Amino acid sequence: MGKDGEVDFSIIGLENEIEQIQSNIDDLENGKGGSIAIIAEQFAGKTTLINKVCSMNKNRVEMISLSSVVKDEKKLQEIEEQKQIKIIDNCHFLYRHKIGGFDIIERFLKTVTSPENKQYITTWNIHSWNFLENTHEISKYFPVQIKLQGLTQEQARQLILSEYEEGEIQFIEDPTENKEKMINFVIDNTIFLNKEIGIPHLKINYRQIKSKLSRKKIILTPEENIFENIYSISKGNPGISKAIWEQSLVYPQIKPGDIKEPCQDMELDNDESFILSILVSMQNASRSDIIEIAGDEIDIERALQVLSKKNIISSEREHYTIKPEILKCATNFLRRSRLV
Amino acid sequence: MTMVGEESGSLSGMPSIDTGTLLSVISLLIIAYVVTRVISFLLTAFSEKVGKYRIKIKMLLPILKFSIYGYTVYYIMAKLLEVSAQELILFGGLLGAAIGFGLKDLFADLIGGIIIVFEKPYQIGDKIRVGDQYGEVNDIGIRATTITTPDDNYVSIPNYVIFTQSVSSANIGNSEMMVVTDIFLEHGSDMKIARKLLKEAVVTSRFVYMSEKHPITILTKDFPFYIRLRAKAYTRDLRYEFNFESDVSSRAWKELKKKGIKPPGANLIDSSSMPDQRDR
Repeated sequence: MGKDGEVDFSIIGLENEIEQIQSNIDDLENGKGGSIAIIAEQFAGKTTLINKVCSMNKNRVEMISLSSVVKDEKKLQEIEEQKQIKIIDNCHFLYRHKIGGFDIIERFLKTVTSPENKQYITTWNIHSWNFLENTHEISKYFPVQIKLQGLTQEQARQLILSEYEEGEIQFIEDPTENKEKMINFVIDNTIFLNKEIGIPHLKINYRQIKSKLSRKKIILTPEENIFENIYSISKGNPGISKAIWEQSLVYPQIKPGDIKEPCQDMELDNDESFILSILVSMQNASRSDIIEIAGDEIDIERALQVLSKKNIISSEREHYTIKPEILKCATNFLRRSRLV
Repeated sequence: MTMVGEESGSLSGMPSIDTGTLLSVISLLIIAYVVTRVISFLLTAFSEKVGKYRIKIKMLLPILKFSIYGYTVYYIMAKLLEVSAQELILFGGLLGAAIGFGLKDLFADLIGGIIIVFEKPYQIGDKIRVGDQYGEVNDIGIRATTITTPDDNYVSIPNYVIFTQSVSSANIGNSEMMVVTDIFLEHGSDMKIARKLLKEAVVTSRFVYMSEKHPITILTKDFPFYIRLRAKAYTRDLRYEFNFESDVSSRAWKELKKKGIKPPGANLIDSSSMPDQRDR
């Protein structure tokens, strides 16, 4: 609940985690408990959660939010020294996926376990966390680990609609001819002998088949249909849900058919997949960081160009990040390739 | 259509097979062959799309192949040729004689193939070593298993070899496999730094696979003229076996040299005294 009794929709679905962290902060002040790691994938609400915790404990905590790879430890020492509890957001920026890229995180982990030192509340990208678990057994340094679960379909609906007045958005039924088909005829472009050729083929719409086979034969309203479609793509990730909504909304109207399945069959070579895995783990990375990580053996310019051309990543001022709507299928692809 | 066993039209009471039956038998064999090839092609193409489950899917290939050929032979014998129990015994006797005289190897290959399919000492997609040959299994056929060696040679190994030689599979049906990477350093090298750099070269390789059950081990061993630093780690796909080894080795050396760590003098490494690379 907000200050004036209104529901704070920005933290919807995070109430239990906030309560758990708050109880741990109380324990930490009493000299009990240990450092906390908040672990989640990109767009899952780690920063929202940590900002809320920070605002609730302004006098007790100090916070630093990392936005790029930390190359100089002084950045970590910038925060005030008076307060007992430190919050560090985006701790996956404390290492680089390269030889010699672990020195800062190793020293940081030593600091975390140092008895006379402060207590830490940290946030981590889940793929970086899993990687560091394999390399440094990182879970041993953080006795309390909170893994953020996704929102339910209803919570995602509340979160999205909280930005609009009641009745502001018009949910419209799809015209019959525009309804999604179970099998679509599509043409995929591919490069063959240095020429771009379109290969026509049939593509199965699994989401549509699943909905046809579903035992629930209840007729859904357009609104329910829209949020079901959003949920089936985002799996409850709030950032992804919002991104899909924003892309599909033709203000003030939205139709179920506007929610398009963003994932084509992902076909990437080894180098492109590796770069993508780095971006999925780091959440965003500069060109120079990617070059440093990938080394000489990968043609980075080509790989980044392919990933951009396939609408998998976006770039802004030489910083690359994965597109929210693609995150789930990219992660599945990387999981199949065992890169995350 | 079937004329087997009919006395009319046969010479001196011996069973005969008319042209139609013969053509049916040949057609069935061709159909079985084509169906097997088509299924092999489709399953192989599908398996390549599914990443880590590739080998699990390819495991179905030999079973399907043996089932299709087995059913075809059964159908020909039972339905087209309508072989009676007596004729089967007669056929068995002839087959026994044929095996005794010259087809015993072929028969051993066939039995070997069936044992490979059901006992699974290796599967399609595995990296195996049989005798002097090492490579990825491409196909387990009725008569022979074919592998592709690291030098891209296509080697056909008769199936009966599993009765006479030990067969080692590096990954037993899994996509990942352990790769051992050795680095030789001169005595006096800072081993703490060297171990750290080698470990980091392994964990940051784009070919590595790490999990609780697939840990990374760095081992050090002193030899009279050098120190061997050995990394044991898994590659996420056995096809990257050599890429992984090369990637780890080259990146590790690049950083080791920056730290002033050197390989032993060239005159000190005598290849004949080097331990076997596969010695773990």
